[in-house]
Amino acid sequence: MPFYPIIQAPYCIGRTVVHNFPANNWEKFRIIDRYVNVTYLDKGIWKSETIQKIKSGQSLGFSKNDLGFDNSNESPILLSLSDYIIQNSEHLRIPDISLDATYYPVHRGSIKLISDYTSTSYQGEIIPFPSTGSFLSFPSFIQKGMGIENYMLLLNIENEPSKRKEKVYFFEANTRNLMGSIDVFSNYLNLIDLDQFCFDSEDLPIILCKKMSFVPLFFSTEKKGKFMSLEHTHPPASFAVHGERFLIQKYIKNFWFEELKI
Amino acid sequence: MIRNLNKTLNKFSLFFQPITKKPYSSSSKISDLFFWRVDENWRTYFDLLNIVSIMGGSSKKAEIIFFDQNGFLLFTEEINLNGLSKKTLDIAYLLGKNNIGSSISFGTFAIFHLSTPEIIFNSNSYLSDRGYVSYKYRSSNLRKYVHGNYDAVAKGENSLKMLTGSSFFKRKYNLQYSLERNSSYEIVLINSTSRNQKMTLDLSNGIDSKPIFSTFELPIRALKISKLSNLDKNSHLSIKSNMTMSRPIVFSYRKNDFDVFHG
Repeated sequence: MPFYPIIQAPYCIGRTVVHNFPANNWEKFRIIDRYVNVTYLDKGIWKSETIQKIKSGQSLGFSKNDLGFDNSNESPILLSLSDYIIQNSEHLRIPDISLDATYYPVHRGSIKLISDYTSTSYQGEIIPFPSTGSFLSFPSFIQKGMGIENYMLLLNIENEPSKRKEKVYFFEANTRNLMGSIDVFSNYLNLIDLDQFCFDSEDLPIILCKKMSFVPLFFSTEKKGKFMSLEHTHPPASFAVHGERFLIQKYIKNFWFEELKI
Repeated sequence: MIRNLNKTLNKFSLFFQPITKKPYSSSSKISDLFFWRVDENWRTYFDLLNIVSIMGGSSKKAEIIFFDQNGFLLFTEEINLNGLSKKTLDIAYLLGKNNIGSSISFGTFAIFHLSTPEIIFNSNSYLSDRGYVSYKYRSSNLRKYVHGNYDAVAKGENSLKMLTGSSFFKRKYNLQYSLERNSSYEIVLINSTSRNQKMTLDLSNGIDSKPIFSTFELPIRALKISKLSNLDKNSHLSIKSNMTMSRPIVFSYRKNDFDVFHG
Protein backbone atom coordinates (compact mmCIF):
# COMPACT_ATOMS: atom_id res chain seq x y z
CA MET A 1 0.00 0.00 0.00
CA PRO A 2 2.51 2.68 -1.02
CA PHE A 3 1.43 6.32 -0.92
CA TYR A 4 3.23 9.15 -2.67
CA PRO A 5 3.23 12.33 -0.58
CA ILE A 6 3.16 15.85 -1.94
CA ILE A 7 5.66 17.68 0.24
CA GLN A 8 6.55 21.33 0.66
CA ALA A 9 9.51 23.34 1.90
CA PRO A 10 10.58 27.00 2.10
CA TYR A 11 10.81 28.82 -1.26
CA CYS A 12 9.25 25.85 -3.10
CA ILE A 13 6.10 24.09 -4.05
CA GLY A 14 5.82 20.32 -3.99
CA ARG A 15 4.91 18.26 -7.02
CA THR A 16 4.69 14.49 -7.00
CA VAL A 17 4.69 12.35 -10.13
CA VAL A 18 3.11 8.89 -10.07
CA HIS A 19 3.91 6.25 -12.66
CA ASN A 20 1.66 3.55 -14.06
CA PHE A 21 4.37 1.15 -15.09
CA PRO A 22 6.48 -1.29 -13.10
CA ALA A 23 10.09 -0.82 -12.01
CA ASN A 24 11.03 -4.16 -13.55
CA ASN A 25 9.76 -6.75 -16.00
CA TRP A 26 10.13 -9.85 -13.85
CA GLU A 27 7.67 -9.27 -11.05
CA LYS A 28 3.96 -9.37 -11.73
CA PHE A 29 2.42 -6.03 -12.65
CA ARG A 30 -0.65 -5.95 -14.87
CA ILE A 31 -0.27 -3.53 -17.78
CA ILE A 32 -3.63 -1.77 -17.49
CA ASP A 33 -5.07 1.71 -17.16
CA ARG A 34 -5.45 2.67 -13.50
CA TYR A 35 -6.68 5.52 -11.31
CA VAL A 36 -4.82 8.17 -9.35
CA ASN A 37 -6.35 8.82 -5.92
CA VAL A 38 -5.79 11.42 -3.26
CA THR A 39 -6.03 10.64 0.47
CA TYR A 40 -6.08 13.41 3.07
CA LEU A 41 -7.26 14.23 6.58
CA ASP A 42 -10.40 16.28 7.07
CA LYS A 43 -11.80 16.96 10.55
CA GLY A 44 -10.15 13.87 12.02
CA ILE A 45 -11.23 11.47 9.27
CA TRP A 46 -9.23 10.00 6.39
CA LYS A 47 -10.89 10.81 3.07
CA SER A 48 -10.02 9.30 -0.31
CA GLU A 49 -11.23 9.88 -3.82
CA THR A 50 -10.16 9.17 -7.37
CA ILE A 51 -8.94 12.26 -9.16
CA GLN A 52 -7.93 11.04 -12.60
CA LYS A 53 -7.49 8.04 -14.83
CA ILE A 54 -3.87 7.19 -15.67
CA LYS A 55 -3.11 5.25 -18.82
CA SER A 56 -0.81 2.27 -18.86
CA GLY A 57 2.78 3.50 -19.23
CA GLN A 58 1.83 7.05 -18.27
CA SER A 59 3.27 9.41 -15.60
CA LEU A 60 1.14 12.16 -14.06
CA GLY A 61 2.24 14.93 -11.69
CA PHE A 62 0.21 16.90 -9.17
CA SER A 63 0.79 19.82 -6.81
CA LYS A 64 -1.45 20.77 -3.88
CA ASN A 65 -2.96 23.56 -5.94
CA ASP A 66 -3.80 21.17 -8.79
CA LEU A 67 -5.92 19.22 -6.31
CA GLY A 68 -7.68 22.25 -4.85
CA PHE A 69 -5.76 22.37 -1.56
CA ASP A 70 -4.31 25.70 -0.56
CA ASN A 71 -0.86 25.89 0.99
CA SER A 72 -2.24 26.61 4.47
CA ASN A 73 -3.97 23.21 4.56
CA GLU A 74 -2.05 21.17 7.15
CA SER A 75 -3.28 17.74 6.09
CA PRO A 76 -0.80 15.37 4.50
CA ILE A 77 -1.70 14.99 0.83
CA LEU A 78 -1.07 11.44 -0.35
CA LEU A 79 -1.37 10.13 -3.88
CA SER A 80 -1.89 6.47 -4.69
CA LEU A 81 -2.70 4.20 -7.63
CA SER A 82 -5.54 1.68 -7.78
CA ASP A 83 -7.20 -0.64 -10.28
CA TYR A 84 -10.62 0.74 -9.30
CA ILE A 85 -12.39 4.07 -8.80
CA ILE A 86 -12.70 5.38 -5.24
CA GLN A 87 -15.72 7.62 -4.71
CA ASN A 88 -15.44 10.05 -1.79
CA SER A 89 -14.84 7.41 0.85
CA GLU A 90 -14.35 8.20 4.56
CA HIS A 91 -12.33 6.06 6.96
CA LEU A 92 -11.34 5.80 10.62
CA ARG A 93 -8.16 4.02 9.50
CA ILE A 94 -6.17 4.99 6.45
CA PRO A 95 -7.65 3.06 3.51
CA ASP A 96 -5.79 0.01 2.22
CA ILE A 97 -5.60 0.92 -1.45
CA SER A 98 -4.17 -2.24 -2.92
CA LEU A 99 -1.84 -2.31 -5.89
CA ASP A 100 0.04 -5.35 -7.18
CA ALA A 101 3.28 -3.42 -7.30
CA THR A 102 6.91 -4.51 -7.49
CA TYR A 103 9.01 -5.20 -4.38
CA TYR A 104 12.48 -4.99 -6.02
CA PRO A 105 12.36 -2.07 -5.73
CA VAL A 106 9.09 -0.94 -4.20
CA HIS A 107 6.93 0.92 -6.72
CA ARG A 108 7.97 4.55 -6.33
CA GLY A 109 6.92 8.04 -7.24
CA SER A 110 9.06 11.08 -8.02
CA ILE A 111 8.74 13.47 -5.09
CA LYS A 112 9.84 16.93 -6.14
CA LEU A 113 10.34 20.40 -4.77
CA ILE A 114 10.24 23.18 -7.34
CA SER A 115 11.38 26.79 -6.82
CA ASP A 116 11.33 29.70 -9.25
CA TYR A 117 14.85 28.73 -10.30
CA THR A 118 15.34 24.98 -10.05
CA SER A 119 14.01 21.70 -8.72
CA THR A 120 15.17 18.78 -6.61
CA SER A 121 13.66 15.36 -6.06
CA TYR A 122 13.97 11.90 -4.66
CA GLN A 123 12.39 8.61 -5.68
CA GLY A 124 10.21 7.40 -2.82
CA GLU A 125 7.01 6.30 -1.22
CA ILE A 126 5.56 6.07 2.26
CA ILE A 127 3.82 3.15 3.89
CA PRO A 128 1.88 4.07 7.06
CA PHE A 129 3.85 3.51 10.27
CA PRO A 130 2.58 1.67 13.33
CA SER A 131 1.78 4.11 16.14
CA THR A 132 4.22 2.12 18.33
CA GLY A 133 7.18 2.98 16.09
CA SER A 134 10.31 4.93 17.00
CA PHE A 135 12.90 6.91 15.07
CA LEU A 136 16.69 7.19 14.99
CA SER A 137 18.70 8.96 12.31
CA PHE A 138 22.34 10.02 11.80
CA PRO A 139 22.12 12.69 9.10
CA SER A 140 25.29 14.26 7.83
CA PHE A 141 23.64 16.71 5.45
CA ILE A 142 23.93 20.01 7.32
CA GLN A 143 25.90 22.42 5.14
CA LYS A 144 27.58 25.65 6.15
CA GLY A 145 28.18 28.72 4.03
CA MET A 146 26.90 32.16 3.16
CA GLY A 147 23.23 32.02 2.21
CA ILE A 148 22.81 28.30 2.93
CA GLU A 149 19.82 27.15 4.99
CA ASN A 150 19.17 23.60 6.24
CA TYR A 151 15.81 22.06 7.06
CA MET A 152 14.50 18.67 8.03
CA LEU A 153 11.09 17.47 6.88
CA LEU A 154 9.81 14.72 9.16
CA LEU A 155 6.86 13.01 7.53
CA ASN A 156 4.71 10.76 9.65
CA ILE A 157 1.64 8.85 8.41
CA GLU A 158 -0.21 6.44 10.70
CA ASN A 159 -3.34 4.37 10.25
CA GLU A 160 -5.35 6.22 12.88
CA PRO A 161 -6.32 9.76 11.80
CA SER A 162 -5.34 11.37 15.09
CA LYS A 163 -2.77 14.13 15.58
CA ARG A 164 -0.49 12.90 18.39
CA LYS A 165 2.24 15.15 19.76
CA GLU A 166 5.71 13.78 20.57
CA LYS A 167 9.17 15.18 21.11
CA VAL A 168 12.16 14.79 18.80
CA TYR A 169 15.63 15.22 20.33
CA PHE A 170 18.79 16.48 18.65
CA PHE A 171 22.16 15.33 20.04
CA GLU A 172 25.75 15.74 18.92
CA ALA A 173 27.20 12.23 18.61
CA ASN A 174 30.75 12.77 19.92
CA THR A 175 29.92 14.72 23.07
CA ARG A 176 26.37 13.35 23.53
CA ASN A 177 25.35 16.98 24.11
CA LEU A 178 21.65 17.67 23.78
CA MET A 179 21.45 20.47 21.21
CA GLY A 180 17.68 20.88 21.41
CA SER A 181 14.28 19.27 21.19
CA ILE A 182 11.14 20.07 19.31
CA ASP A 183 7.48 19.04 19.30
CA VAL A 184 6.31 17.04 16.30
CA PHE A 185 2.94 15.66 15.24
CA SER A 186 1.65 12.48 13.69
CA ASN A 187 -0.01 12.52 10.26
CA TYR A 188 1.88 15.66 9.47
CA LEU A 189 4.85 16.98 7.53
CA ASN A 190 6.92 18.55 10.34
CA LEU A 191 9.25 21.28 9.05
CA ILE A 192 12.27 21.86 11.31
CA ASP A 193 14.93 24.54 10.89
CA LEU A 194 18.18 22.64 11.55
CA ASP A 195 20.34 25.76 11.75
CA GLN A 196 18.78 26.67 15.11
CA PHE A 197 20.71 23.80 16.77
CA CYS A 198 24.14 25.24 15.84
CA PHE A 199 25.83 22.00 14.80
CA ASP A 200 29.42 22.45 13.55
CA SER A 201 30.24 21.34 10.03
CA GLU A 202 31.89 18.06 11.13
CA ASP A 203 29.39 17.26 13.88
CA LEU A 204 27.28 14.17 13.42
CA PRO A 205 23.75 14.86 14.65
CA ILE A 206 21.74 12.07 16.26
CA ILE A 207 18.04 12.69 15.88
CA LEU A 208 15.63 10.47 17.74
CA CYS A 209 12.08 10.02 18.89
CA LYS A 210 10.99 7.11 21.07
CA LYS A 211 7.32 7.12 20.19
CA MET A 212 6.91 8.04 16.54
CA SER A 213 8.40 6.99 13.19
CA PHE A 214 9.15 9.22 10.25
CA VAL A 215 10.50 9.39 6.74
CA PRO A 216 13.33 11.89 7.36
CA LEU A 217 13.97 14.26 4.48
CA PHE A 218 16.77 16.82 4.49
CA PHE A 219 16.43 19.95 2.42
CA SER A 220 19.22 22.50 1.95
CA THR A 221 19.02 25.62 -0.13
CA GLU A 222 21.41 28.38 -1.14
CA LYS A 223 20.14 31.88 -1.99
CA LYS A 224 16.52 31.15 -1.10
CA GLY A 225 15.68 28.48 -3.66
CA LYS A 226 18.28 29.28 -6.31
CA PHE A 227 20.10 26.02 -5.55
CA MET A 228 18.53 23.12 -3.64
CA SER A 229 19.37 19.64 -2.36
CA LEU A 230 16.94 16.99 -1.08
CA GLU A 231 17.86 13.57 0.30
CA HIS A 232 16.70 11.16 2.96
CA THR A 233 18.61 9.03 5.44
CA HIS A 234 18.23 5.28 5.54
CA PRO A 235 17.09 3.53 8.71
CA PRO A 236 19.90 2.06 10.85
CA ALA A 237 19.30 -1.42 9.36
CA SER A 238 20.98 -0.13 6.20
CA PHE A 239 24.39 -0.42 7.90
CA ALA A 240 24.05 -4.17 7.44
CA VAL A 241 23.21 -6.54 4.63
CA HIS A 242 21.95 -10.14 4.86
CA GLY A 243 21.21 -11.86 8.16
CA GLU A 244 18.91 -10.46 10.79
CA ARG A 245 19.07 -6.80 9.84
CA PHE A 246 16.09 -5.76 11.87
CA LEU A 247 17.62 -7.26 15.03
CA ILE A 248 20.56 -4.99 14.29
CA GLN A 249 18.26 -2.02 13.89
CA LYS A 250 16.62 -2.81 17.23
CA TYR A 251 20.05 -3.15 18.84
CA ILE A 252 21.25 0.21 17.51
CA LYS A 253 18.08 1.95 18.64
CA ASN A 254 18.26 0.42 22.12
CA PHE A 255 21.96 1.27 22.36
CA TRP A 256 21.40 4.95 21.59
CA PHE A 257 18.16 5.33 23.54
CA GLU A 258 20.03 4.01 26.62
CA GLU A 259 23.23 5.92 25.89
CA LEU A 260 21.36 9.21 25.58
CA LYS A 261 18.99 8.40 28.43
CA ILE A 262 15.85 9.26 26.50
CA MET B 1 -3.80 -17.78 -4.83
CA ILE B 2 -2.25 -16.38 -8.02
CA ARG B 3 -0.72 -13.61 -5.92
CA ASN B 4 0.81 -16.18 -3.55
CA LEU B 5 2.12 -18.25 -6.47
CA ASN B 6 3.71 -15.14 -7.87
CA LYS B 7 5.37 -14.34 -4.55
CA THR B 8 6.71 -17.92 -4.38
CA LEU B 9 8.15 -17.65 -7.90
CA ASN B 10 9.80 -14.35 -6.99
CA LYS B 11 11.36 -15.91 -3.88
CA PHE B 12 12.60 -18.86 -5.99
CA SER B 13 14.08 -16.44 -8.51
CA LEU B 14 15.72 -14.33 -5.79
CA PHE B 15 17.24 -17.42 -4.13
CA PHE B 16 19.07 -18.48 -7.29
CA GLN B 17 19.63 -14.98 -8.69
CA PRO B 18 19.88 -12.75 -5.64
CA ILE B 19 19.94 -8.97 -5.85
CA THR B 20 23.01 -9.08 -3.56
CA LYS B 21 25.26 -12.15 -3.26
CA LYS B 22 26.99 -13.12 -0.03
CA PRO B 23 30.71 -12.37 0.46
CA TYR B 24 33.25 -15.21 0.78
CA SER B 25 33.96 -14.66 4.46
CA SER B 26 31.93 -13.63 7.50
CA SER B 27 34.52 -10.96 8.30
CA SER B 28 34.20 -9.31 4.87
CA LYS B 29 33.19 -5.66 4.73
CA ILE B 30 30.87 -4.31 2.06
CA SER B 31 30.61 -1.00 0.25
CA ASP B 32 28.70 0.58 -2.57
CA LEU B 33 30.75 1.60 -5.60
CA PHE B 34 30.25 5.33 -5.32
CA PHE B 35 30.47 7.50 -8.42
CA TRP B 36 33.01 10.34 -8.35
CA ARG B 37 33.56 13.12 -10.86
CA VAL B 38 36.19 15.82 -10.66
CA ASP B 39 36.98 18.41 -13.34
CA GLU B 40 36.69 22.16 -13.92
CA ASN B 41 32.92 21.98 -13.28
CA TRP B 42 32.60 19.24 -10.71
CA ARG B 43 33.75 18.40 -7.20
CA THR B 44 32.74 15.25 -5.30
CA TYR B 45 32.61 14.71 -1.53
CA PHE B 46 31.81 11.76 0.73
CA ASP B 47 30.48 12.02 4.27
CA LEU B 48 32.46 9.30 6.04
CA LEU B 49 30.64 8.20 9.20
CA ASN B 50 32.10 5.94 11.85
CA ILE B 51 29.38 3.33 11.42
CA VAL B 52 31.25 0.81 13.57
CA SER B 53 31.07 3.18 16.55
CA ILE B 54 27.47 4.07 15.72
CA MET B 55 26.78 0.34 16.19
CA GLY B 56 28.44 0.32 19.61
CA GLY B 57 31.85 -0.93 18.44
CA SER B 58 35.17 0.83 18.20
CA SER B 59 36.99 1.89 15.06
CA LYS B 60 39.73 4.38 14.28
CA LYS B 61 40.29 3.84 10.58
CA ALA B 62 38.54 3.16 7.31
CA GLU B 63 39.96 2.40 3.91
CA ILE B 64 39.02 4.05 0.65
CA ILE B 65 39.79 2.34 -2.67
CA PHE B 66 39.61 4.29 -5.92
CA PHE B 67 38.93 2.87 -9.38
CA ASP B 68 38.98 4.56 -12.75
CA GLN B 69 36.05 4.55 -15.16
CA ASN B 70 37.19 1.18 -16.57
CA GLY B 71 37.20 -0.44 -13.16
CA PHE B 72 41.00 -0.52 -12.74
CA LEU B 73 42.44 0.11 -9.30
CA LEU B 74 43.95 3.59 -8.90
CA PHE B 75 45.03 3.63 -5.25
CA THR B 76 44.08 2.77 -1.71
CA GLU B 77 44.30 5.07 1.28
CA GLU B 78 43.61 4.70 4.98
CA ILE B 79 41.53 7.43 6.57
CA ASN B 80 41.74 8.22 10.28
CA LEU B 81 38.37 8.62 11.95
CA ASN B 82 37.75 11.15 14.67
CA GLY B 83 35.45 9.48 17.16
CA LEU B 84 31.87 9.84 16.01
CA SER B 85 32.45 13.07 14.08
CA LYS B 86 31.76 12.89 10.40
CA LYS B 87 34.68 13.29 8.05
CA THR B 88 33.95 15.09 4.81
CA LEU B 89 36.27 13.59 2.21
CA ASP B 90 37.15 15.93 -0.66
CA ILE B 91 37.70 13.46 -3.50
CA ALA B 92 39.67 16.01 -5.59
CA TYR B 93 42.11 16.42 -2.70
CA LEU B 94 42.59 12.65 -2.33
CA LEU B 95 43.13 12.23 -6.08
CA GLY B 96 45.68 15.06 -6.16
CA LYS B 97 47.51 13.71 -3.12
CA ASN B 98 47.88 10.38 -4.91
CA ASN B 99 49.11 11.96 -8.17
CA ILE B 100 46.00 11.18 -10.20
CA GLY B 101 46.04 13.80 -12.96
CA SER B 102 43.21 15.53 -14.73
CA SER B 103 43.22 12.92 -17.53
CA ILE B 104 41.05 10.78 -15.24
CA SER B 105 37.98 12.80 -14.40
CA PHE B 106 35.53 10.19 -13.15
CA GLY B 107 35.41 6.73 -11.65
CA THR B 108 34.22 4.95 -8.54
CA PHE B 109 35.39 4.45 -4.98
CA ALA B 110 34.55 2.05 -2.17
CA ILE B 111 34.72 2.56 1.60
CA PHE B 112 35.62 -0.33 3.88
CA HIS B 113 35.57 -0.06 7.66
CA LEU B 114 38.46 -1.91 9.26
CA SER B 115 36.64 -3.57 12.14
CA THR B 116 33.29 -5.25 12.58
CA PRO B 117 30.92 -4.69 15.49
CA GLU B 118 29.88 -7.75 17.50
CA ILE B 119 26.23 -7.33 16.62
CA ILE B 120 27.05 -7.89 12.95
CA PHE B 121 28.63 -11.30 13.65
CA ASN B 122 25.85 -12.23 16.06
CA SER B 123 23.21 -11.49 13.43
CA ASN B 124 24.92 -13.42 10.58
CA SER B 125 25.14 -10.15 8.77
CA TYR B 126 27.79 -8.02 7.05
CA LEU B 127 28.79 -4.42 7.65
CA SER B 128 27.95 -2.23 4.66
CA ASP B 129 28.64 1.41 3.84
CA ARG B 130 26.00 2.86 1.52
CA GLY B 131 26.60 6.38 2.71
CA TYR B 132 26.18 9.79 1.30
CA VAL B 133 28.00 11.28 -1.69
CA SER B 134 27.59 14.91 -2.61
CA TYR B 135 28.42 16.86 -5.76
CA LYS B 136 29.19 20.53 -6.26
CA TYR B 137 28.70 22.07 -9.70
CA ARG B 138 30.25 25.25 -11.11
CA SER B 139 29.79 28.33 -8.91
CA SER B 140 27.28 26.99 -6.42
CA ASN B 141 28.48 26.48 -2.85
CA LEU B 142 25.71 23.97 -2.18
CA ARG B 143 26.49 20.28 -2.36
CA LYS B 144 23.75 18.00 -3.72
CA TYR B 145 23.45 14.69 -1.91
CA VAL B 146 22.63 11.20 -3.08
CA HIS B 147 22.79 8.06 -0.96
CA GLY B 148 24.48 4.82 -1.91
CA ASN B 149 22.06 2.19 -3.10
CA TYR B 150 24.00 -0.99 -3.78
CA ASP B 151 25.85 -3.43 -1.61
CA ALA B 152 28.21 -3.61 -4.54
CA VAL B 153 31.57 -4.97 -3.47
CA ALA B 154 32.98 -6.99 -0.55
CA LYS B 155 36.52 -6.91 0.72
CA GLY B 156 37.88 -10.01 2.39
CA GLU B 157 41.44 -10.61 3.63
CA ASN B 158 43.09 -10.11 0.26
CA SER B 159 40.43 -9.95 -2.37
CA LEU B 160 37.44 -8.05 -3.66
CA LYS B 161 34.21 -9.75 -4.65
CA MET B 162 31.51 -8.09 -6.72
CA LEU B 163 28.16 -8.73 -5.10
CA THR B 164 25.39 -7.63 -7.45
CA GLY B 165 23.66 -10.67 -8.88
CA SER B 166 23.53 -11.67 -12.53
CA SER B 167 20.37 -13.15 -13.97
CA PHE B 168 20.12 -16.13 -16.35
CA PHE B 169 17.88 -14.04 -18.60
CA LYS B 170 17.90 -10.39 -19.57
CA ARG B 171 16.02 -8.17 -17.13
CA LYS B 172 14.59 -4.75 -17.61
CA TYR B 173 14.84 -1.99 -15.04
CA ASN B 174 12.32 0.75 -15.78
CA LEU B 175 13.31 4.10 -14.30
CA GLN B 176 10.15 5.29 -12.55
CA TYR B 177 10.74 8.88 -13.51
CA SER B 178 9.44 11.06 -16.29
CA LEU B 179 12.35 12.57 -18.19
CA GLU B 180 11.13 16.01 -19.19
CA ARG B 181 11.00 17.62 -22.61
CA ASN B 182 13.70 20.26 -23.24
CA SER B 183 15.74 18.94 -20.30
CA SER B 184 19.10 17.19 -20.32
CA TYR B 185 20.21 14.22 -18.26
CA GLU B 186 23.18 12.03 -17.58
CA ILE B 187 22.52 8.38 -16.75
CA VAL B 188 25.35 6.77 -14.77
CA LEU B 189 25.50 2.98 -14.79
CA ILE B 190 28.08 0.98 -12.84
CA ASN B 191 28.65 -2.73 -13.35
CA SER B 192 28.87 -4.17 -9.85
CA THR B 193 28.46 -7.79 -11.00
CA SER B 194 31.30 -10.28 -11.44
CA ARG B 195 31.00 -10.47 -15.21
CA ASN B 196 30.92 -8.08 -18.16
CA GLN B 197 27.45 -6.76 -18.92
CA LYS B 198 25.89 -5.88 -22.23
CA MET B 199 23.51 -3.04 -21.46
CA THR B 200 20.78 -1.55 -23.61
CA LEU B 201 19.20 1.80 -22.84
CA ASP B 202 15.76 2.25 -24.34
CA LEU B 203 14.25 5.72 -24.38
CA SER B 204 10.56 5.87 -25.17
CA ASN B 205 7.28 7.47 -24.25
CA GLY B 206 5.73 4.10 -23.37
CA ILE B 207 7.22 0.98 -21.82
CA ASP B 208 6.59 -1.18 -24.89
CA SER B 209 7.93 1.14 -27.55
CA LYS B 210 10.81 -0.04 -29.72
CA PRO B 211 13.47 2.62 -30.34
CA ILE B 212 16.82 1.69 -28.85
CA PHE B 213 18.89 4.52 -27.54
CA SER B 214 22.18 2.70 -27.18
CA THR B 215 23.82 -0.62 -26.46
CA PHE B 216 27.23 -0.95 -24.87
CA GLU B 217 29.45 -3.42 -23.07
CA LEU B 218 30.35 -2.60 -19.48
CA PRO B 219 33.35 -4.48 -18.02
CA ILE B 220 33.43 -5.50 -14.36
CA ARG B 221 33.49 -2.42 -12.05
CA ALA B 222 33.41 -0.08 -15.07
CA LEU B 223 30.95 2.76 -15.46
CA LYS B 224 29.38 4.63 -18.30
CA ILE B 225 27.80 8.07 -18.42
CA SER B 226 25.10 8.27 -21.10
CA LYS B 227 24.07 11.79 -22.06
CA LEU B 228 20.50 12.61 -23.04
CA SER B 229 20.44 16.17 -24.34
CA ASN B 230 17.42 18.42 -24.89
CA LEU B 231 14.78 15.71 -25.13
CA ASP B 232 12.12 16.56 -27.69
CA LYS B 233 9.33 14.97 -25.65
CA ASN B 234 8.66 13.62 -22.16
CA SER B 235 10.18 10.14 -22.07
CA HIS B 236 10.77 7.05 -19.99
CA LEU B 237 14.00 5.12 -19.76
CA SER B 238 14.47 1.39 -19.35
CA ILE B 239 17.74 -0.46 -18.96
CA LYS B 240 18.11 -4.03 -20.14
CA SER B 241 20.96 -6.23 -18.93
CA ASN B 242 21.69 -9.41 -16.99
CA MET B 243 22.12 -7.42 -13.77
CA THR B 244 19.39 -8.44 -11.35
CA MET B 245 18.77 -4.76 -10.77
CA SER B 246 20.46 -2.08 -12.87
CA ARG B 247 19.53 1.09 -10.99
CA PRO B 248 21.25 4.16 -12.37
CA ILE B 249 22.31 7.41 -10.79
CA VAL B 250 20.62 10.26 -12.64
CA PHE B 251 21.93 13.81 -13.05
CA SER B 252 19.33 16.21 -14.39
CA TYR B 253 20.10 19.72 -15.58
CA ARG B 254 17.86 22.75 -15.34
CA LYS B 255 19.11 26.25 -16.25
CA ASN B 256 22.36 26.71 -14.30
CA ASP B 257 21.62 24.05 -11.74
CA PHE B 258 21.51 20.27 -11.52
CA ASP B 259 19.85 17.59 -9.44
CA VAL B 260 21.08 14.11 -8.64
CA PHE B 261 19.13 11.09 -7.46
CA HIS B 262 19.11 7.32 -7.50
CA GLY B 263 16.80 5.81 -10.08
